[in-house]
Amino acid sequence: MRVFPYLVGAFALLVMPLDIRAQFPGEVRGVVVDVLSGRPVPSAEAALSGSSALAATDAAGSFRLRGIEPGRHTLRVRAPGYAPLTRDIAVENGKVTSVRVELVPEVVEVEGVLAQIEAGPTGARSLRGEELRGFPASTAGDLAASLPGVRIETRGRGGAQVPSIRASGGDAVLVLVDGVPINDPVTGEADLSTVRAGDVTAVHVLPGGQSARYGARAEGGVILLETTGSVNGDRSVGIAVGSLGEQSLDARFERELALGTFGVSAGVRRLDGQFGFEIPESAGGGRSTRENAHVRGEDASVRWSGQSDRVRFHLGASGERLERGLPGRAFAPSRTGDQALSRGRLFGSLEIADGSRRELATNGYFVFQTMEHRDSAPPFGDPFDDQTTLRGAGGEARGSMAIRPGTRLGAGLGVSHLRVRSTQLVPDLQDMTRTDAGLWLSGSQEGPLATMLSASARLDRSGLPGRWYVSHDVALAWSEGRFGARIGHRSSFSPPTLGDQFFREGVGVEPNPDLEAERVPSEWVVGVTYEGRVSGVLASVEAEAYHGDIQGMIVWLPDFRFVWSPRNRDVHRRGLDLSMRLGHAASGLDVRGHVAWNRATYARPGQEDVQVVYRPEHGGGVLVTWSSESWRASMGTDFVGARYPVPNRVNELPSFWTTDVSVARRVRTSIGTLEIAAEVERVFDHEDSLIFAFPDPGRTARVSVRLGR
Amino acid sequence: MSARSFRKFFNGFLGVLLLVALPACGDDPLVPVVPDISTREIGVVVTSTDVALTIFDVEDPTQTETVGLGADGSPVSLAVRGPLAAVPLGVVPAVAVVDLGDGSLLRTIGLAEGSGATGVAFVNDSIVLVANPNLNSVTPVNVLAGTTGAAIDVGRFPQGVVVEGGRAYVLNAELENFAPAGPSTITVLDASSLAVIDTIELSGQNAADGVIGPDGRLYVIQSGSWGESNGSLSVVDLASGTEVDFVEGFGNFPGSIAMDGDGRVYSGVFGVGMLVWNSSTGGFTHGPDDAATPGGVASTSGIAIDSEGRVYALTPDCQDPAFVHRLNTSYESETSIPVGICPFAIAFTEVEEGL
Repeated sequence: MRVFPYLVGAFALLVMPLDIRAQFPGEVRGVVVDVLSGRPVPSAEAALSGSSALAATDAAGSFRLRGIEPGRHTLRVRAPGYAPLTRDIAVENGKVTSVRVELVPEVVEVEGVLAQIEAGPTGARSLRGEELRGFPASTAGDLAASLPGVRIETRGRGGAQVPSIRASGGDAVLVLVDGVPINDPVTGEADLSTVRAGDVTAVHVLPGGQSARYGARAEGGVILLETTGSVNGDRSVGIAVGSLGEQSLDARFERELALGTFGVSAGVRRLDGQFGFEIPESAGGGRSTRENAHVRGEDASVRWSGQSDRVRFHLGASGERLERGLPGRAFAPSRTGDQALSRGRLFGSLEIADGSRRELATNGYFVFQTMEHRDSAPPFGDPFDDQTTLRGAGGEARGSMAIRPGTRLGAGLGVSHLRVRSTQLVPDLQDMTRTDAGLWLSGSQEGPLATMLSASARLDRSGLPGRWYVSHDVALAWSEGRFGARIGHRSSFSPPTLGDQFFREGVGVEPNPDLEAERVPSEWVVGVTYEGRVSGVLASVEAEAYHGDIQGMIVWLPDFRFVWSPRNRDVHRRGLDLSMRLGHAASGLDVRGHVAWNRATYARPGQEDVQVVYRPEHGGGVLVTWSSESWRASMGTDFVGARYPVPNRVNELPSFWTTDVSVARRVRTSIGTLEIAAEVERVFDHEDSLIFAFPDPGRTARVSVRLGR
Repeated sequence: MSARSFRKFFNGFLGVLLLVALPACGDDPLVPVVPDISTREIGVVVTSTDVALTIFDVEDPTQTETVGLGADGSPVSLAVRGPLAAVPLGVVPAVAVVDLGDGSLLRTIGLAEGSGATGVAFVNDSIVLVANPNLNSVTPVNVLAGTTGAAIDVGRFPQGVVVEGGRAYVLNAELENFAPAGPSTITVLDASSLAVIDTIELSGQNAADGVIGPDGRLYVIQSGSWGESNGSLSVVDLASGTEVDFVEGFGNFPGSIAMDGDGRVYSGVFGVGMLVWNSSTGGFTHGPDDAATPGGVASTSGIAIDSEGRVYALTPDCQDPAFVHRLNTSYESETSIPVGICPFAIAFTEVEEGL
């Protein structure tokens, strides 16, 4: 069935009504600031009484409420550590009402343990806007790694960066870039190193099972990357040079026109990647040189977005090309292996809101991708030269409506269609197509005592051959003042990948056509949050515990012939994420910290205390940032706990810390703002790595200059 | 001096150094060889998936200890001598040296890149010969000093070494791209000079393991090809350096061999279990059709016999911790000893009591 033409047609029809904007009501735009310091207040909540219009302020303190019926309204603004504020405003037909809200800091005496509630329906952990600038990062993987619960499996600097959330496998984390999935069609894994950090304007992490909303692969969690909008002003150009022969250049330009905002961006990066390293003692010791670790990447994108009173749309196209060496393990290096990725995406979204009563949204995408892997002289096995091409299209339509005050119902439908040609697969499937679809229903009901009950269920047809999966998510949330709490129960799944089931058999590998999907049939989540101000310090604390065993986790194990094959293994899983943030607006000091405990053990009778391979039980990090009008400095420390490289309690790899520092100065000039930054990764020269024998160069430095307006 | 010429010079230097050092190794004072103190017998099992050794007390098998060998590797063989064990690490080009007395990893000694390190035997108290199947060579390694000598070229894909009577017999599987490319061969080395002195042609394919029988002959089990049930046994007369007997019918992929004092050959066969062949009668006691299945599993990897003549067999479960089975005279499991994941090889030695 050819789905793509229909999706394009449907999307075009949905975009057409843009010209009827004059029929729609008004909009409220505002900025929220601290009355004492004048600094913007991020993450404040702005809402109109009597409706569900709700928005959160961004890093600049700005918010926008769209689709507001003309007339008098009461605007309510609240933020942690500030006294709530209400103001009457008038909204005129088809016009924008601008407001400036000054919040008064509220002194709170806090005693004992701070505990509170996660009021947000999704529990997303986000970095956006100015927050992104505090992290030394080259790739989206570097950014995502700073968020609680996320572990990035990196195979050396410049290598692939595969995310894991709450001890999941890499193929159980769904990654969407502007709504387009970037999980590889054969391996199921998403490589975050293919997305340049400078192109990212927001990162959202949804930990835990999210299949009830996002379907397949959202078993461990979902990472949403946005490249729309702007972090560095509407025009910027930046260059960077660094250790290991790193060079990068990127530029971004945006302009607001009558038809909306147009933007283009492009970037190139280079990394030689060669460095000397010590071979681990347990691999025989000695010294060697990391070769064939180069990276060459180029990307470009164009975007068009706009909004009227009730309609918001976004269209974009992007392309990236990445070529890099595959140097392999320290004890078995390859000097001839390499990988080449070419990817193009077309994507768009459309949202229509009828006040707060009805909302309709749709998005669609088309993706073309070619991935090549080759090695003429691999350290083991036969030479290979494989190519995988993907042509895919997908999209979803969703809507919701308030059926009565406090009660809302929603529904959605998502479809994706892929054509995969891959010499990596068995001959019968080297040219195959598949169609996945999902249908979901959701609802929410406000309850007494500031509670909200929400529920959603989704039916998916996924995998090859297509099978049906049902996922659910039920949550009860309570939010009052600075405190919040949430308890939820959900289920999720991650089907086996094409590679798992139909990898072309070769020396040392064998597919498993009988593999079942990973499933988390019952996951409990309990979270509490607190946000308040203590002696002028804005404090927020969030804790979330989860318990959800994985049935049939897909792990690769060898047999006695050393033929590796994927198999289903049951895993017990539970854990706790704890994060906190302290901000002192007057001094510009911001401290964030998080710790994660992820206990994922094989369900073996009589031996249930063996942590799954390369899933550290403990992790965490601290980031201290200081900023002023013209300076910004940060120091971040990450902790990777002890982990087992084998499925038994033996050969434990020790925990390690890494510390990065950065200093930046911003200078206003006649042509724009010039920012000069210096970053040092692994300042104490630690060379440890999560995965054994993927050597790290230790301390490296980067200097960047960016001119923006 | 270019890197290549330096390497050649260095390898030559190491070779000379080894030749000078070898005669002094046999009476290394670090390894007591006069057991006038009480000793105990231990069994040592190599487990491949978790890259570890499991050590158990023969008299009290409930006493076990696990020693990690490294974060990666695919060990399938070991050699023991007194309190030392040497374990080639397979995909990791290195040899792990373990002190069996205190259950600790002494050191890991690097080999040439791409070695494939599989197959090992002690030449004397300090020197082991390690086969490099991917490099068609063997490397002498001083397990006490942590040094290696120059590699010695042998046949294709060596994966076993047997030392007897001042000679080392390197079992060459003669594989290409992991498939048999011809009959197995044996490269004979002088154990003192490590010079190649002979090559013995065999009739079977994929020589995997060997043992010296009570008759002084070398018995070589040959795996053949997986799924083709063409495992075989070659019997080599060491005096003449010739294959004097060749027995087919050893089933689907035998990989290990042991012999008792009565001349019974025990072979662990991955495809069927354990076979028993009587060298006196030339017939099977348990052939492929009625193979013994230690632990009820029709697949056996390693086989070994302790000082009391009891047979031990390994079940190659590569996903979960497995067992070594001590067999009774009916070849049924009388004791199951838990070991690590994917046990491949087993050997016995003695260590000082109380260690």
